[in-house]
Amino acid sequence: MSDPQMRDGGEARLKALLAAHYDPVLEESVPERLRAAVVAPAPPLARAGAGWRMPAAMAASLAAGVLIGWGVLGERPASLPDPYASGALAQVLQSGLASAPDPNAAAQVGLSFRTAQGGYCRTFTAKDGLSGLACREPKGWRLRMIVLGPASGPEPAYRTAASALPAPLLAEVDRLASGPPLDASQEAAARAKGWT
Amino acid sequence: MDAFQRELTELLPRLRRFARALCRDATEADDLVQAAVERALRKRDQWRPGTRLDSWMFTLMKNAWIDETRSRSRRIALFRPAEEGGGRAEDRDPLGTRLVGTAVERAMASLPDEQRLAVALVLVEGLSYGEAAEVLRIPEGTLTSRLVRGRQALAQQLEGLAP
Repeated sequence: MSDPQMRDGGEARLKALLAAHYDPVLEESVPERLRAAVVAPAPPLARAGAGWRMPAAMAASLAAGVLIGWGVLGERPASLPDPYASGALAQVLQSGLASAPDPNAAAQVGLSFRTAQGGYCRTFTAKDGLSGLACREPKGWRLRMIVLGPASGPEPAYRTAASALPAPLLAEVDRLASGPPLDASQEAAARAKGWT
Repeated sequence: MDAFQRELTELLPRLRRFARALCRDATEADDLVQAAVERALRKRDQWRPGTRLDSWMFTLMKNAWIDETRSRSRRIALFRPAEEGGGRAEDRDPLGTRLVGTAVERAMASLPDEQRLAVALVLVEGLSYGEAAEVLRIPEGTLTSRLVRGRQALAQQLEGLAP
Protein backbone atom coordinates (compact mmCIF):
# COMPACT_ATOMS: atom_id res chain seq x y z
CA MET A 1 0.00 0.00 0.00
CA SER A 2 1.56 3.24 -1.05
CA ASP A 3 -0.77 5.71 0.63
CA PRO A 4 1.48 8.22 2.32
CA GLN A 5 -0.89 8.19 5.27
CA MET A 6 0.04 4.56 5.88
CA ARG A 7 3.40 5.70 7.14
CA ASP A 8 1.53 7.09 10.07
CA GLY A 9 2.11 4.67 12.90
CA GLY A 10 -1.08 5.86 14.56
CA GLU A 11 -3.12 4.62 11.67
CA ALA A 12 -1.46 1.21 11.73
CA ARG A 13 -2.11 0.84 15.43
CA LEU A 14 -5.70 1.92 15.05
CA LYS A 15 -6.13 -0.50 12.19
CA ALA A 16 -4.87 -3.31 14.40
CA LEU A 17 -7.28 -2.36 17.16
CA LEU A 18 -10.20 -2.26 14.78
CA ALA A 19 -9.14 -5.50 13.14
CA ALA A 20 -9.02 -7.24 16.49
CA HIS A 21 -12.56 -6.15 17.08
CA TYR A 22 -14.19 -6.48 13.67
CA ASP A 23 -12.26 -9.20 11.83
CA PRO A 24 -13.77 -12.05 13.85
CA VAL A 25 -17.03 -11.23 12.06
CA LEU A 26 -15.45 -12.78 8.95
CA GLU A 27 -15.21 -16.11 10.73
CA GLU A 28 -18.80 -16.15 11.90
CA SER A 29 -21.21 -18.27 9.96
CA VAL A 30 -23.40 -16.09 7.80
CA PRO A 31 -27.03 -16.11 8.97
CA GLU A 32 -29.25 -18.19 6.77
CA ARG A 33 -31.58 -15.27 6.15
CA LEU A 34 -28.78 -13.39 4.39
CA ARG A 35 -27.87 -16.35 2.22
CA ALA A 36 -31.53 -16.74 1.42
CA ALA A 37 -31.86 -13.05 0.56
CA VAL A 38 -29.20 -13.40 -2.13
CA VAL A 39 -31.10 -16.09 -4.02
CA ALA A 40 -34.57 -14.71 -3.33
CA PRO A 41 -36.38 -12.99 -6.15
CA ALA A 42 -36.07 -9.23 -5.82
CA PRO A 43 -38.59 -8.28 -3.17
CA PRO A 44 -41.74 -6.73 -4.56
CA LEU A 45 -43.31 -3.61 -3.29
CA ALA A 46 -45.96 -4.42 -0.71
CA ARG A 47 -47.56 -7.71 -1.60
CA ALA A 48 -50.54 -9.33 0.00
CA GLY A 49 -49.97 -12.70 1.52
CA ALA A 50 -49.47 -14.60 4.70
CA GLY A 51 -46.48 -14.05 6.86
CA TRP A 52 -43.91 -11.35 7.09
CA ARG A 53 -43.03 -9.29 4.07
CA MET A 54 -40.50 -6.59 3.71
CA PRO A 55 -41.88 -4.41 0.96
CA ALA A 56 -39.33 -2.81 -1.28
CA ALA A 57 -40.32 0.66 -0.23
CA MET A 58 -39.59 -0.33 3.30
CA ALA A 59 -36.32 -1.99 2.54
CA ALA A 60 -35.38 1.14 0.72
CA SER A 61 -36.12 3.70 3.33
CA LEU A 62 -37.07 1.93 6.47
CA ALA A 63 -34.70 -0.96 6.79
CA ALA A 64 -33.71 0.05 10.19
CA GLY A 65 -37.04 1.21 11.42
CA VAL A 66 -37.97 -2.40 11.23
CA LEU A 67 -34.77 -3.29 12.85
CA ILE A 68 -35.54 -1.01 15.65
CA GLY A 69 -38.82 -2.83 15.99
CA TRP A 70 -37.08 -6.13 15.99
CA GLY A 71 -34.38 -4.86 18.24
CA VAL A 72 -37.02 -4.13 20.79
CA LEU A 73 -38.50 -7.55 20.30
CA GLY A 74 -35.46 -8.92 21.95
CA GLU A 75 -33.49 -11.64 20.29
CA ARG A 76 -34.48 -12.47 16.78
CA PRO A 77 -33.83 -15.73 15.03
CA ALA A 78 -31.50 -15.83 12.08
CA SER A 79 -34.24 -16.09 9.51
CA LEU A 80 -37.20 -13.81 9.29
CA PRO A 81 -40.03 -15.60 11.00
CA ASP A 82 -42.75 -14.26 13.20
CA PRO A 83 -41.82 -10.86 14.43
CA TYR A 84 -44.15 -9.68 17.12
CA ALA A 85 -45.07 -6.12 17.90
CA SER A 86 -43.45 -4.76 21.00
CA GLY A 87 -43.21 -1.61 23.01
CA ALA A 88 -45.47 1.27 22.16
CA LEU A 89 -46.91 -0.49 19.13
CA ALA A 90 -47.89 -3.57 21.14
CA GLN A 91 -49.51 -1.31 23.66
CA VAL A 92 -51.56 0.45 21.00
CA LEU A 93 -52.66 -2.85 19.47
CA GLN A 94 -53.66 -4.26 22.81
CA SER A 95 -55.40 -1.23 24.30
CA GLY A 96 -56.11 1.28 21.55
CA LEU A 97 -59.63 1.80 20.28
CA ALA A 98 -60.42 3.07 16.82
CA SER A 99 -63.57 4.53 18.33
CA ALA A 100 -61.57 6.52 20.89
CA PRO A 101 -58.27 7.43 19.26
CA ASP A 102 -55.50 8.80 21.43
CA PRO A 103 -53.79 11.54 19.42
CA ASN A 104 -50.66 11.20 21.54
CA ALA A 105 -50.23 7.49 20.92
CA ALA A 106 -47.37 6.25 18.71
CA ALA A 107 -49.87 4.72 16.31
CA GLN A 108 -53.60 4.67 15.66
CA VAL A 109 -55.68 1.56 15.29
CA GLY A 110 -57.72 1.36 12.11
CA LEU A 111 -59.81 -1.72 11.43
CA SER A 112 -60.27 -4.62 13.79
CA PHE A 113 -61.70 -7.86 12.48
CA ARG A 114 -61.88 -11.59 13.02
CA THR A 115 -60.36 -14.20 10.78
CA ALA A 116 -62.02 -17.41 9.67
CA GLN A 117 -60.15 -19.14 12.47
CA GLY A 118 -61.73 -16.80 15.00
CA GLY A 119 -58.60 -14.81 15.85
CA TYR A 120 -58.44 -11.04 15.93
CA CYS A 121 -56.41 -8.85 13.62
CA ARG A 122 -56.01 -5.09 13.66
CA THR A 123 -54.58 -2.55 11.25
CA PHE A 124 -52.58 0.38 12.53
CA THR A 125 -51.22 3.60 11.14
CA ALA A 126 -48.20 5.35 12.54
CA LYS A 127 -46.98 8.80 11.87
CA ASP A 128 -45.26 9.51 8.58
CA GLY A 129 -47.01 6.96 6.46
CA LEU A 130 -46.15 3.65 8.06
CA SER A 131 -49.08 1.32 8.41
CA GLY A 132 -49.50 -2.34 9.05
CA LEU A 133 -51.54 -5.31 10.06
CA ALA A 134 -51.05 -7.42 13.17
CA CYS A 135 -52.92 -10.48 14.37
CA ARG A 136 -53.31 -11.59 17.94
CA GLU A 137 -51.61 -14.86 18.70
CA PRO A 138 -50.95 -16.51 22.04
CA LYS A 139 -47.47 -14.97 22.18
CA GLY A 140 -48.58 -11.49 21.24
CA TRP A 141 -49.45 -9.34 18.25
CA ARG A 142 -47.77 -10.85 15.24
CA LEU A 143 -46.96 -8.36 12.50
CA ARG A 144 -48.40 -9.71 9.28
CA MET A 145 -47.60 -6.81 7.05
CA ILE A 146 -46.03 -3.39 7.19
CA VAL A 147 -46.47 -0.94 4.36
CA LEU A 148 -44.84 2.37 3.84
CA GLY A 149 -46.70 4.83 1.73
CA PRO A 150 -49.90 6.71 1.31
CA ALA A 151 -53.26 5.15 0.75
CA SER A 152 -53.81 4.44 -2.91
CA GLY A 153 -55.42 2.17 -5.40
CA PRO A 154 -58.89 0.73 -5.66
CA GLU A 155 -61.05 0.57 -2.64
CA PRO A 156 -61.81 -2.89 -1.34
CA ALA A 157 -64.95 -3.74 0.54
CA TYR A 158 -63.84 -2.81 4.00
CA ARG A 159 -62.70 0.71 3.35
CA THR A 160 -64.21 3.09 5.86
CA ALA A 161 -63.95 6.82 6.09
CA ALA A 162 -61.65 6.48 9.07
CA SER A 163 -59.25 4.01 7.53
CA ALA A 164 -57.03 5.60 4.94
CA LEU A 165 -54.96 2.47 4.48
CA PRO A 166 -52.73 1.54 1.56
CA ALA A 167 -54.30 -0.76 -0.99
CA PRO A 168 -52.06 -3.78 -0.32
CA LEU A 169 -52.98 -3.64 3.31
CA LEU A 170 -56.66 -3.42 2.59
CA ALA A 171 -56.34 -6.32 0.18
CA GLU A 172 -54.80 -8.37 2.96
CA VAL A 173 -57.64 -7.35 5.27
CA ASP A 174 -60.10 -8.47 2.65
CA ARG A 175 -58.29 -11.75 2.32
CA LEU A 176 -58.13 -12.52 6.02
CA ALA A 177 -61.38 -11.13 7.36
CA SER A 178 -64.28 -13.50 7.75
CA GLY A 179 -66.86 -10.76 8.19
CA PRO A 180 -67.23 -7.04 8.48
CA PRO A 181 -64.89 -5.16 10.78
CA LEU A 182 -65.80 -4.84 14.43
CA ASP A 183 -67.97 -1.92 15.38
CA ALA A 184 -67.19 0.21 18.41
CA SER A 185 -68.95 -1.97 20.94
CA GLN A 186 -67.52 -5.20 19.51
CA GLU A 187 -64.07 -3.61 19.55
CA ALA A 188 -64.43 -2.60 23.20
CA ALA A 189 -65.72 -6.05 24.13
CA ALA A 190 -62.84 -7.78 22.38
CA ARG A 191 -60.36 -5.53 24.14
CA ALA A 192 -61.97 -6.27 27.49
CA LYS A 193 -61.44 -9.98 26.85
CA GLY A 194 -57.81 -9.39 25.87
CA TRP A 195 -58.41 -10.26 22.21
CA THR A 196 -58.71 -13.97 22.94
CA MET B 1 -27.61 -19.38 -8.34
CA ASP B 2 -25.98 -17.30 -11.06
CA ALA B 3 -22.51 -15.74 -11.07
CA PHE B 4 -23.77 -12.47 -9.60
CA GLN B 5 -25.42 -14.25 -6.71
CA ARG B 6 -22.37 -16.44 -6.13
CA GLU B 7 -20.12 -13.42 -5.93
CA LEU B 8 -22.58 -11.68 -3.65
CA THR B 9 -22.70 -14.71 -1.37
CA GLU B 10 -18.92 -14.75 -1.15
CA LEU B 11 -19.00 -11.10 -0.16
CA LEU B 12 -21.45 -11.57 2.70
CA PRO B 13 -18.81 -11.94 5.44
CA ARG B 14 -17.18 -8.67 4.44
CA LEU B 15 -20.49 -6.89 4.09
CA ARG B 16 -21.35 -8.06 7.59
CA ARG B 17 -18.06 -6.73 8.92
CA PHE B 18 -18.58 -3.38 7.26
CA ALA B 19 -22.12 -3.21 8.62
CA ARG B 20 -20.91 -4.09 12.08
CA ALA B 21 -18.57 -1.11 11.98
CA LEU B 22 -21.50 1.16 11.14
CA CYS B 23 -24.33 -0.19 13.26
CA ARG B 24 -25.01 -0.38 16.95
CA ASP B 25 -25.33 -4.12 17.19
CA ALA B 26 -25.11 -7.34 15.22
CA THR B 27 -28.81 -7.63 14.50
CA GLU B 28 -29.03 -4.14 13.14
CA ALA B 29 -25.90 -4.81 11.10
CA ASP B 30 -27.34 -7.93 9.51
CA ASP B 31 -30.55 -6.11 8.77
CA LEU B 32 -28.52 -3.50 6.96
CA VAL B 33 -26.76 -6.20 4.94
CA GLN B 34 -30.11 -7.69 4.07
CA ALA B 35 -31.52 -4.35 2.97
CA ALA B 36 -28.44 -3.80 0.79
CA VAL B 37 -28.68 -7.26 -0.73
CA GLU B 38 -32.29 -6.61 -1.61
CA ARG B 39 -31.33 -3.30 -3.20
CA ALA B 40 -28.59 -5.04 -5.12
CA LEU B 41 -30.99 -7.59 -6.54
CA ARG B 42 -33.37 -4.89 -7.65
CA LYS B 43 -30.59 -2.85 -9.23
CA ARG B 44 -28.37 -5.61 -10.49
CA ASP B 45 -28.64 -4.43 -14.07
CA GLN B 46 -26.85 -1.28 -12.96
CA TRP B 47 -23.79 -3.24 -11.92
CA ARG B 48 -21.22 -3.73 -14.69
CA PRO B 49 -19.66 -7.18 -14.63
CA GLY B 50 -15.92 -6.89 -14.43
CA THR B 51 -16.09 -3.96 -12.04
CA ARG B 52 -15.74 -4.44 -8.34
CA LEU B 53 -18.83 -5.81 -6.72
CA ASP B 54 -17.54 -5.03 -3.25
CA SER B 55 -17.27 -1.31 -3.95
CA TRP B 56 -20.72 -1.28 -5.52
CA MET B 57 -22.18 -3.09 -2.51
CA PHE B 58 -20.46 -0.74 -0.09
CA THR B 59 -22.10 2.17 -1.89
CA LEU B 60 -25.52 0.51 -1.65
CA MET B 61 -24.92 -0.16 2.04
CA LYS B 62 -23.86 3.41 2.63
CA ASN B 63 -27.05 4.66 0.99
CA ALA B 64 -29.23 2.25 2.92
CA TRP B 65 -27.52 3.18 6.14
CA ILE B 66 -27.88 6.90 5.55
CA ASP B 67 -31.55 6.53 4.60
CA GLU B 68 -32.02 4.57 7.76
CA THR B 69 -30.24 6.97 10.08
CA ARG B 70 -32.35 9.76 8.65
CA SER B 71 -35.57 7.93 9.24
CA ARG B 72 -34.61 6.39 12.54
CA SER B 73 -35.22 9.44 14.65
CA ARG B 74 -38.65 9.85 13.11
CA ARG B 75 -39.62 6.25 13.57
CA ILE B 76 -38.01 5.33 16.82
CA ALA B 77 -40.96 6.56 18.83
CA LEU B 78 -43.16 3.88 17.35
CA PHE B 79 -41.00 1.06 18.50
CA ARG B 80 -39.68 2.47 21.72
CA PRO B 81 -40.43 0.14 24.60
CA ALA B 82 -43.24 1.25 26.82
CA GLU B 83 -40.95 1.04 29.83
CA GLU B 84 -37.58 2.65 29.60
CA GLY B 85 -34.50 0.55 29.34
CA GLY B 86 -35.63 -2.54 27.45
CA GLY B 87 -34.41 -2.05 23.95
CA ARG B 88 -30.93 -0.67 23.87
CA ALA B 89 -28.24 -2.94 22.57
CA GLU B 90 -26.24 -2.59 25.76
CA ASP B 91 -29.15 -3.95 27.74
CA ARG B 92 -29.36 -7.10 25.71
CA ASP B 93 -26.03 -8.44 26.81
CA PRO B 94 -26.60 -9.58 30.34
CA LEU B 95 -23.50 -11.75 30.26
CA GLY B 96 -21.25 -8.87 29.32
CA THR B 97 -19.78 -10.74 26.39
CA ARG B 98 -19.34 -7.53 24.51
CA LEU B 99 -17.33 -5.82 27.20
CA VAL B 100 -14.10 -6.24 25.31
CA GLY B 101 -15.57 -4.65 22.26
CA THR B 102 -17.45 -1.86 23.90
CA ALA B 103 -14.57 0.59 23.96
CA VAL B 104 -14.11 0.22 20.23
CA GLU B 105 -17.84 0.26 19.57
CA ARG B 106 -18.41 3.26 21.76
CA ALA B 107 -15.62 5.11 20.08
CA MET B 108 -16.97 4.26 16.63
CA ALA B 109 -20.49 5.22 17.63
CA SER B 110 -19.27 8.61 18.80
CA LEU B 111 -18.02 9.52 15.34
CA PRO B 112 -20.17 11.61 13.02
CA ASP B 113 -21.67 9.41 10.30
CA GLU B 114 -19.39 10.72 7.56
CA GLN B 115 -16.27 9.97 9.59
CA ARG B 116 -17.53 6.57 10.61
CA LEU B 117 -18.07 5.65 6.96
CA ALA B 118 -14.56 6.75 6.07
CA VAL B 119 -13.03 4.84 8.97
CA ALA B 120 -15.07 1.72 8.25
CA LEU B 121 -14.06 1.66 4.59
CA VAL B 122 -10.37 2.42 4.98
CA LEU B 123 -9.38 1.17 8.41
CA VAL B 124 -11.77 -1.76 8.72
CA GLU B 125 -12.32 -2.83 5.11
CA GLY B 126 -8.86 -1.91 3.92
CA LEU B 127 -9.92 0.11 0.88
CA SER B 128 -7.44 2.61 -0.47
CA TYR B 129 -8.26 6.28 -0.05
CA GLY B 130 -9.17 6.49 -3.71
CA GLU B 131 -11.46 3.46 -3.56
CA ALA B 132 -13.18 4.71 -0.45
CA ALA B 133 -13.70 8.14 -1.97
CA GLU B 134 -15.31 6.51 -4.97
CA VAL B 135 -17.61 4.40 -2.80
CA LEU B 136 -18.71 7.51 -0.95
CA ARG B 137 -18.85 9.57 -4.15
CA ILE B 138 -16.70 12.30 -2.65
CA PRO B 139 -13.36 13.83 -3.68
CA GLU B 140 -10.33 12.07 -2.27
CA GLY B 141 -9.32 15.19 -0.35
CA THR B 142 -12.65 15.20 1.44
CA LEU B 143 -12.27 11.54 2.26
CA THR B 144 -8.80 12.15 3.63
CA SER B 145 -9.89 14.95 5.91
CA ARG B 146 -12.84 12.93 7.23
CA LEU B 147 -10.56 10.03 7.85
CA VAL B 148 -7.96 12.11 9.63
CA ARG B 149 -10.56 13.62 11.91
CA GLY B 150 -12.15 10.25 12.58
CA ARG B 151 -8.79 8.70 13.26
CA GLN B 152 -7.85 11.41 15.72
CA ALA B 153 -11.12 11.07 17.58
CA LEU B 154 -10.76 7.30 17.76
CA ALA B 155 -7.15 7.46 18.84
CA GLN B 156 -8.05 9.83 21.63
CA GLN B 157 -10.79 7.59 22.94
CA LEU B 158 -8.89 4.36 22.58
CA GLU B 159 -5.65 5.60 24.04
CA GLY B 160 -4.05 3.01 26.26
CA LEU B 161 -5.79 0.01 24.75
CA ALA B 162 -3.73 -2.84 23.40
CA PRO B 163 -2.25 -3.52 20.93
